[in-house]
Amino acid sequence: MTTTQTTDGQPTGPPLLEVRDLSVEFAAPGGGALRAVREVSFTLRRGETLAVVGESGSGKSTTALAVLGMLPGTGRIASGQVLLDGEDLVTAGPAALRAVRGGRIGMVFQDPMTALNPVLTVGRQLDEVLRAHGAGGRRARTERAAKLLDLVGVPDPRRRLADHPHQFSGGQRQRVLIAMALAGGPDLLLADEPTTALDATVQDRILTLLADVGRETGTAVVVITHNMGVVARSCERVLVMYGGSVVEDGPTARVLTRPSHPYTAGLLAAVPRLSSPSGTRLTGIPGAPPDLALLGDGCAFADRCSRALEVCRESVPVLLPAGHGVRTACAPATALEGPLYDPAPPVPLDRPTPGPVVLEAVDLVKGYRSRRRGPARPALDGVSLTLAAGETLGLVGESGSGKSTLARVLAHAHPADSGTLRLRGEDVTRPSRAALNGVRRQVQMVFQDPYASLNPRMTVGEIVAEPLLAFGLGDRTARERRVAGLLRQVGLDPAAAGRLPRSFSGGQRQRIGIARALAPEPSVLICDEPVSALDVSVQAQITTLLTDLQRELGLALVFIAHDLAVVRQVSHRIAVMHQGRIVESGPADEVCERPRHAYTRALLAAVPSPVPTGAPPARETLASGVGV
Amino acid sequence: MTTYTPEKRAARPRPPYLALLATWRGRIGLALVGLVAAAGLLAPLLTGHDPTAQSGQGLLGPGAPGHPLGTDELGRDLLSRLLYGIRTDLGLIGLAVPLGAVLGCLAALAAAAHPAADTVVQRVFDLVLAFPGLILALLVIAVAGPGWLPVVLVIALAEIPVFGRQLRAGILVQRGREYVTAARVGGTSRTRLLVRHILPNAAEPLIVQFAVSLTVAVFLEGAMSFLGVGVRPPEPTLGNVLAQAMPYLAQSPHVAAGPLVVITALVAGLSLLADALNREIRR
Repeated sequence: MTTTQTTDGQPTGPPLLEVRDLSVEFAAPGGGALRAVREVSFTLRRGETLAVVGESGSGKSTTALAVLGMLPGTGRIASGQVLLDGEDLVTAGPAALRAVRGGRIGMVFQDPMTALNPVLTVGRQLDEVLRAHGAGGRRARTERAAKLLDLVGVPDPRRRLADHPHQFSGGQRQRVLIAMALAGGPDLLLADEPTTALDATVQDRILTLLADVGRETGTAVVVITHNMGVVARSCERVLVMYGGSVVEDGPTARVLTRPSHPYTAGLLAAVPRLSSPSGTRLTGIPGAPPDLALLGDGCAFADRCSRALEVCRESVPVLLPAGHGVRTACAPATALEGPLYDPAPPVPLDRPTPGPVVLEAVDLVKGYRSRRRGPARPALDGVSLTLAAGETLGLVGESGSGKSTLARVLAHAHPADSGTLRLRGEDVTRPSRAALNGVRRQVQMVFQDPYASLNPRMTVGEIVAEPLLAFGLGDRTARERRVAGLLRQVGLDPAAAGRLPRSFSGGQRQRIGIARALAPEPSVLICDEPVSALDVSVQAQITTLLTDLQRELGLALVFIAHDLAVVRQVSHRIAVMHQGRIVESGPADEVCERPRHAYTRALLAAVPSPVPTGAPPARETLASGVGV
Repeated sequence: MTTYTPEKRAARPRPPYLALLATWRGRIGLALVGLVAAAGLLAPLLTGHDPTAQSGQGLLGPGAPGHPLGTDELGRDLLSRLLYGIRTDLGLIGLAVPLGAVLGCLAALAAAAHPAADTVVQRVFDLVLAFPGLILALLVIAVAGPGWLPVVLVIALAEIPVFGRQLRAGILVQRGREYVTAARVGGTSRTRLLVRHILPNAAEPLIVQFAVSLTVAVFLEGAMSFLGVGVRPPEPTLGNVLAQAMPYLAQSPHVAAGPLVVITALVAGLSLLADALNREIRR
């Protein structure tokens, strides 16, 4: 087995990393085994950049951890080989593995906020890694540490070595982590969702850095991500995973423009495009990602695939060459003529024109008491907005811009410090206890995290009935009937009422959250990042549900997100928040096409597009760098 | 609109106390504790001797006729002293630990209700925790005199801040969770929020703490009796049977062996149970 199967006319050398038929199992609570990774094979050449994409539960992170021999909990490698320059890491002893980690393979983690030790200076932490890999005396190590910080683009590196992690911003911390991963002079850099915890404008710079680092040091880079835009921007090859298996493997440019697996095609279609105008329907993939515990023989995607044949459910598909250096695990698709993926013209939704103003906020100010003395910058600094019945107002901004605070103030979860809030013309800024109940019936909220926002000990029925009970609406049987109706309304089986939230997937949980919010028949629904925690293929289901409900019930929606592309498609109007203020607002298409504020322009420029438009500079230079 | 039926997931929901039985830690722990508890509860059936009756045959070795474990220096049957000692101990800790837990939880609830109450409760906890358990015991005994009730009071007092702090921390963590905000926005009242949402989620680690506290209580009783400030002799407890064995340790080590083995089994069993519960809960 050589690299020729994955390379088409590209230089072939001995592979740096070769993963053969890797399977990983976890002990299931019931006593059985849960197969998280199934017979994954791929190769990586020196200096190559590879993206591993997939949604939650696809096995992408588990594969990376298995390569490093760092499987958590009960995970174990059931079969297969991981060859690093011909040496098998699966059978290697702990000492050999330790030398490989950090030395030959560097790892960058998802959350830069927690991956650094807060009580040690950045210099100390870099020094520790350098010492572990025997990088000379103290002076030489400090020298090298400063060089590394310089390499990852931290300004004034010598002085910053003495700083603690909290003195760095999120993006800079990720740079420090990349420097730490590079400290041992690795041949391979594994980055697990390196930009997921970062804002869009920062994400862009980190991706460029990863590509640059790969080129300058000749390190192969593997980026694990769920974001198609990230793939397009930073990697020359892509591996698409689903349900623990690789479904497609090929050059990025080819895979993203002419995908040869139905899942890749569906995923690409599901990614919201910034170019789609306001009021177009997002496309998604029906169904939910597979439950690994229940996955039997056959293609994991068969249940959600419109092209599934009988044969797909019977045997596990193998990767077959599909031309242009692409391998795909879908026999029906390789036999198919014509492209699988046909970007359909955007379907405009029929949306009623907004009615009278329901909610009005004037000059809202909200600050949080800070532990230290000194003037605290308010989280909301004079925010004014109006919201009409049947209208969707999109709120965008980066973390810390005050979006969530605004949502909570609007929903009366926190009181505002000053300013006025009017509901149908009535002042409800500081309602009395009795009036507050009335306001809460009118204004309901959908939360970001479908896992944290449902009480794990209550059944779905109890959760949805909670507001009915709180507002004293109906007796027991009436409530039960209403819960069943609500569950049906959000696309769930009423039989779900008797089960606990943990038996539902993320998308289904978000539906439960929406049902709960709809229970007291509100007229305003505040959605705080309702799709951010969901997989791309499921995201469309939730946004479509929200717009359908809006049309049926005449709801006024506040839709908060950091993804401009989603916000544009969903909203009538967009308000851009920055440092507690609304810096720009206007009709959705207008704001996205003719932004007036510099910050809006920066946000728009940073949205990574899944379609490789032209040739991004990073990719081009990388490709030439590989040949050398 | 399509309807999604939640597909059947791997069978999961089983309460932690049942899942315990599936782990070796849980089984061994339960067996050890069960054995000791059964021995204590069945004491009148297992031995015909009064634990305080003196036979006049002092320091008989194990296997003596009528006295399987022998007798102590006053000729009292060691087996019955041991079994009745377990009985007293179980009664003490079975009363003291729940008392401490309940008082601690009430204090935590008061702390959760108002910031001022929180400060007061916290400082009182600090005060109690500032004394090591034994010093606290001596303090209470100095005031109340030795006996059965003071031992219960000491153990309960030592456990109040342990439970109180844990529940308070749990309440604070859960209060910041999104589902609590969700319930608040949904109009749920404060009392219902606390009783229905926060407490059930915050109280789970207390089950583990309960098992740990029982262990500590066994130790504390033993230490107090050993120092002669616990339950008054001649009534047997594990601690004072052990204390009385000390002067004769060189010539009759078997007198000390019984209580030592039982205390070890009880503590090991409770620790294993606590550990197994902890693992199940954190899964």
